[in-house]
Amino acid sequence: MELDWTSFLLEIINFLVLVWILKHFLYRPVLDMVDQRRRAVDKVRADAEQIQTEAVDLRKRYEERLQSWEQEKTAARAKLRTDLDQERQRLALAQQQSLQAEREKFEVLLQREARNNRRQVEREALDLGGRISRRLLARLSSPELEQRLIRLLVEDLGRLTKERIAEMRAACKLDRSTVQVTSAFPLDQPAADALREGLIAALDLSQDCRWRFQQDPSLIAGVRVALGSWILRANLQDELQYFFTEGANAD
Amino acid sequence: MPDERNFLEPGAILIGPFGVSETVITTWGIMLVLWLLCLVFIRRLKLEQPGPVQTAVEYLILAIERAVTDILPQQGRQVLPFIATLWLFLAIANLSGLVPGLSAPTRDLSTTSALAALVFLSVHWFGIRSQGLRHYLAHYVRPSPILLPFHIIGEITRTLALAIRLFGNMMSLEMAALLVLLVAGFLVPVPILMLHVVEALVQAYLFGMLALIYVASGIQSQQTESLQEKRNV
Repeated sequence: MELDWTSFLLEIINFLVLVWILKHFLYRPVLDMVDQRRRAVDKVRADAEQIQTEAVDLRKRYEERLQSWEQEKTAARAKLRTDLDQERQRLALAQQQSLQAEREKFEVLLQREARNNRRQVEREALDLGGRISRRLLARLSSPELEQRLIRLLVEDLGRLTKERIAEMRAACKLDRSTVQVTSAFPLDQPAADALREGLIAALDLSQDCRWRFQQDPSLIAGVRVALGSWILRANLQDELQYFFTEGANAD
Repeated sequence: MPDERNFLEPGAILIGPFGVSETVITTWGIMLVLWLLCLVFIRRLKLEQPGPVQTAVEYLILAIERAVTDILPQQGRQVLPFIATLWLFLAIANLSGLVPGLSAPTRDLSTTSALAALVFLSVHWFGIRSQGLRHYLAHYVRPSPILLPFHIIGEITRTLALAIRLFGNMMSLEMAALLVLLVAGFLVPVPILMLHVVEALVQAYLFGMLALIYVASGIQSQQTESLQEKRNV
């Protein structure tokens, strides 16, 4: 247990040198490294916090945008539904109108077809009636019937109005050459004279008119007198023709 | 004129007129090993993915820094090299006695006295650097100049206690191990050697912690007194 001053001094120097060595070759590099790593960790942490903040912000904006999109989607869906309803109603109305038009058109066609059918039936009935009547009247026709018809013609001429008589006379003057008389049976002289005198008296015809008589059995009974453009019909054929033709047109 | 070589202890060498003891040579060896290890270590420092050795060394130094800054939050980095070197050197020096053929430098009173003297000087050095010479010396006469002798006696006795405590413990440990080895046999001193390891680390920690407390008391006494003066003003 001796104190060696040389060792004492050398140990002091040694320790101070060791402090310098360790300070420069151990503590400072290690602490610098640790500080550097700590700064790097802090930077990474700060970056991570910033990224997290940005992520939270981004998520918030995304949620807001999503909510906005949801609202827009709801509004668009409601508008689309409204438009669809309106379009559906419009199409239904158009379809209904089209169906109504088709129905009306069909009804008109049906009515027209029914009317045509009825006309056809009536026409056929009239035709059949006409044929039956013609056949019956053909069997009933006779010169006596013809003379009666001539008398009826003369009587009817006497009931004509003055205007009609004037028109007939004017037509006769324009074509004064011939008065053509067609009869179903051959007219005997008294019957022809009676007809001529009746016409002259009723229509105040001149004596210059030429009279021509001819026979047409298709008239069944009676006469047909042609005065220029006027034709006087007093026979069963023309009556039947008028009856069935005008009867059919009357409908 | 007698030959000075006859007065050298075994293992000592003579450099010029000075005899260098085995303690100093062992200290140089420890310094050289530490220096070489530091050179190798700092070459392999990596910022990312440090190896297990780097992790262990960083953990050790950060633990020392944490212990120092717990007591001296503001001057931690300033005092750290001195205290950390005390801990590292004393731990290695105490354990070096376990190496066959070597004796621990700390079983030499010259080494422990030198370290105690350095602690004594460092207390004043850090105290003066902290508040200045005038304010530092003023605390010896506070609260009364009568306490000045007691302050001086306290400084000297705690320094002596620091030196002799470490010397006595290390010396006694080696003596006990040697006696057990002589009396009991070859493998019996192994538990004593395990106790030596624990005791070496405990003594290193104790010496360094006392040094830290002394330095901290020198710094904080100045700061406390300055704070009281500011409050009085």
